[in-house]
Amino acid sequence: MARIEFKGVSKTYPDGTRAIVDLNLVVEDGELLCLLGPSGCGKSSTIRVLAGLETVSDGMILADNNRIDHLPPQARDCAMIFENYALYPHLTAFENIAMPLRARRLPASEIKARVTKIARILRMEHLMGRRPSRLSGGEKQRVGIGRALVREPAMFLMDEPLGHLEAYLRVELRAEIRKLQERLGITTIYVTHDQEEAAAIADRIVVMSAGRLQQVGSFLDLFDRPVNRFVAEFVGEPPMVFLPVERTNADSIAVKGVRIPLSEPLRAALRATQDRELILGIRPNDFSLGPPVRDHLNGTVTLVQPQGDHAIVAVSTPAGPATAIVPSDRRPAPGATIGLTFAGERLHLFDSAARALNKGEGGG
Amino acid sequence: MEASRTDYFSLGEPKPDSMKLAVERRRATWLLIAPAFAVLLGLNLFPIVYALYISCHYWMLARPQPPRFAGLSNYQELFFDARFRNSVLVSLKFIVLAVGIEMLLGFGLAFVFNTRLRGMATLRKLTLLPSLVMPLVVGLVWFYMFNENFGIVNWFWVMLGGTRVPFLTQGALALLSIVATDVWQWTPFVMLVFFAALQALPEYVYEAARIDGLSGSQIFFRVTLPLLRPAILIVLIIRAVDALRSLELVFMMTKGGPAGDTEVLPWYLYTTGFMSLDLGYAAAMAVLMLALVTILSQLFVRLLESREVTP
Amino acid sequence: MTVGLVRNKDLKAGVRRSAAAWPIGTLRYLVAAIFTGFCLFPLYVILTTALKTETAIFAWPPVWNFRPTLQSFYNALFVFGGRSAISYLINSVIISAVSTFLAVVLGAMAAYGFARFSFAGKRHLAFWILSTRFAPPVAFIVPIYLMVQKAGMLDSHIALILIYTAMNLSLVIWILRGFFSEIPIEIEEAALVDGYSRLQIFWRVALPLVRPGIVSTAILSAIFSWNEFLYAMVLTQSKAATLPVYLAGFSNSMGLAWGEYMAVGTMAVLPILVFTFALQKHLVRGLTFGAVK
Repeated sequence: MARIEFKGVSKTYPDGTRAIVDLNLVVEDGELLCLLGPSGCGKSSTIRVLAGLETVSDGMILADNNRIDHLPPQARDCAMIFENYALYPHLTAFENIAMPLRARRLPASEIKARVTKIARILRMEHLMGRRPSRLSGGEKQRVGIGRALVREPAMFLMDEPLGHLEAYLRVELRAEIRKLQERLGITTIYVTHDQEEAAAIADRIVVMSAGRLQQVGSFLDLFDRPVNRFVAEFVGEPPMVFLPVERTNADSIAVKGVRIPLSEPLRAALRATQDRELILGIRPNDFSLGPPVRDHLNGTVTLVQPQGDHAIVAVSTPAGPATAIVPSDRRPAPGATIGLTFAGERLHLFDSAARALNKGEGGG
Repeated sequence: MEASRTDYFSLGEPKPDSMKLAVERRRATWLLIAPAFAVLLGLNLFPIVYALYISCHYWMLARPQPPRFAGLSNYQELFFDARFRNSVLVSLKFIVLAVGIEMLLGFGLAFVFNTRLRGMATLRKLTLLPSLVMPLVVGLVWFYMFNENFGIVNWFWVMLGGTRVPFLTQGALALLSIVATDVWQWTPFVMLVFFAALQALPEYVYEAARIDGLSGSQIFFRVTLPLLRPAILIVLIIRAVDALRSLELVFMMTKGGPAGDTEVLPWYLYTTGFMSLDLGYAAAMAVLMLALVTILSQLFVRLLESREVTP
Repeated sequence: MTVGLVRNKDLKAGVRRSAAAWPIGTLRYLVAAIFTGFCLFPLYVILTTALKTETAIFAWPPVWNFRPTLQSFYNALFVFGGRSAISYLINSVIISAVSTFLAVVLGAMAAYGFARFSFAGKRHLAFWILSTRFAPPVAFIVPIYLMVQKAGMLDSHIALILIYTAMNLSLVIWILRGFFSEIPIEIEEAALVDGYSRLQIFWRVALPLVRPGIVSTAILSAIFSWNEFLYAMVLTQSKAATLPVYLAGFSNSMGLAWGEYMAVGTMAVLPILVFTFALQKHLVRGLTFGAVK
């Protein structure tokens, strides 16, 4: 159990790549925190720096208020699960799981007891005698999980552990991981590029881009109150629709001449800025489609993708392309002219620096 | 686990043409492999059989009588031949000493070179030269360097405070000198193989080991060494067989002397066959040698097979 | 004092990064330099002895600074007791070149056959071919000498060429088989669909793609043929005798003609030096038969 703190952590590689830039983050004791972001955003670097596999260029890392960034991996009480399993190819599953215990020179009987216990929890007793080359991907990752569990460490670090597994296995294993983590209450940092995965298991999510922390919060926080355009676009599938708007007044905007109704908090936020280059953001599920109405936002349907109980509709509007999600029985025909309506409270506005205008509700 | 497709056998060939294609495929296979197979059949398999045949005869090239069938009496004679026993013993000593030192030195040096420091790659490439140079020339130059009267080795020895030593003509020293020459020639090869094996070790396994809490020496003995085992065995067999059959150094430097102290099995075989011209006896030795080499090469082949299974 | 660029990923294979990295770096350079020097020193001796005068060669203590002379080279190549080294040199070149050519051609064909086709007994055949690499020449010369003698081919180029081809086939086949296996089979399947025959595919599609393998096995085969001594000595006399045979005659010269023999030794060794640097990349793969990549 550990409370982890990153204070001003930066990591620049010898070739000049700035993988982490001024990271300040607190990971609460016992929580499952996801690092979410596209490839190259620094999430893997963050976890490696925490593990001790890379050194910190600047700043420091604390575990329970003790500084650990100068310690080698062996001295930090963390266990890691790798994307490519990183199992010892020449050892059986049993020996793989036992290795951390052998490193600490525990007596053989205790090693045997603890490894068998883990094997039972993970339902893998029948696989203990096999080498990694004879295990499937899912089984290999289970061994990796076992190797991490057997140590009862202060923190779990997981670097895209399910990346190489098939879809159904991913769903199954992530649920197992979450259950285990809840039961053991070990602080866990989980790296992934899959927001659905993050949404499913994380207590809190950290969105990263280009080495910087963009926003930290629960999935709903990120979904409803994205703090900038990157988070707004990255979180939520299909992604948010962005339309350029003109500012018609201190507190009103229009899209290609069509006045957009704004909620009061948004109008207040708008009054607070002088910015004239603004972007409107709307989530596909916040659109309603209906017959075209004058002086409203209308467009032509370009593509309809049925997805079972709902359909994804691509619409071409004078202001740009848009995507909407509608119930299957209400879907329009391709080529039809339709009108788009949306509720004022569900809108997001972004200024010229791509920051979201603060609507002042809840926190952020 | 998917099997990788590398041969046509798994190709789904269209039905109507399948007969024609199968015939064409068989023809192609035969045409491609037959020439090489023929050469090896004639120059490898047949000589072995022929050697067996010769070994069962009294066959002296120097005498006017034709070869005479002798059953297994050549082998019988070998069994009681003290000089043969000595040659086997000398060969054994040579192999154990030379290959042993090469393996240890080569192994250690591989770690020294296992780094990306600037210039090390060039140095490493330069070290390979001894292993590629004509062995006869190696014998020539070390014969020069070990010379009692003007040899450079003696010069070093005297500088270190000793007196001039007849390296190549004094008892046990002669064999040690040959061993030293062989070590000079083949340690780079061993080092290179271990170096390549080290480079091929997966980095992620070491990351996992460090996270698991293994200390440096634990990592070496529990991870590095076991993962290097296939390479160690492969190099061991290659060197052992090559040391067993090497002749050039003895030929150039000691000619089996002094008094049989460096008479390795190949030398005894060679002198029996081409100086004493006793072909039958030499053939018997050859057959025994071939038997030994066959066993070792089978081990090697089995090793290669198992390597393909380990990830 | 910086001795070189030490990067994070430098110390592979589990060697821990210690706080004081520079003493280890210096130590590495020291050991590496000493070892490399030790490896190269005898080669230096060959060259310098070839360039020394006779008095310098026999001098005690050994002479390090001397006035070089090409007398030994001249003697060995043109004069020496009726045994000029030139014909030996030429024979070595011819025999190495032709046997390498044959080994590569026959070997590539067979390697492709092994890589792409299956047939009964393939595994056993392949392993038998691999095991011929270990054939001890000293055990084979007894039957082979008789065979060559009965065929009337003693002291002929063709005998050595064929024997060296057989000697190198194992290496060529085993290495090229690996290279051929690495070609994605889809490329050849596409050619099949386009109507090419299997042999045409071998010649036009597969072979060009394994050029690096061909180059390295050719160079290795050439080196092995060039260096080979026992078969050459037993089976040739004067017409087809190669450089090693000339060098073997050193003992007959009563151990006095050091300069001339070192000169020939230099000539025997020089081509190797040239080719080694071209070879580096696939060398280990070649020398261990693909067991270690």
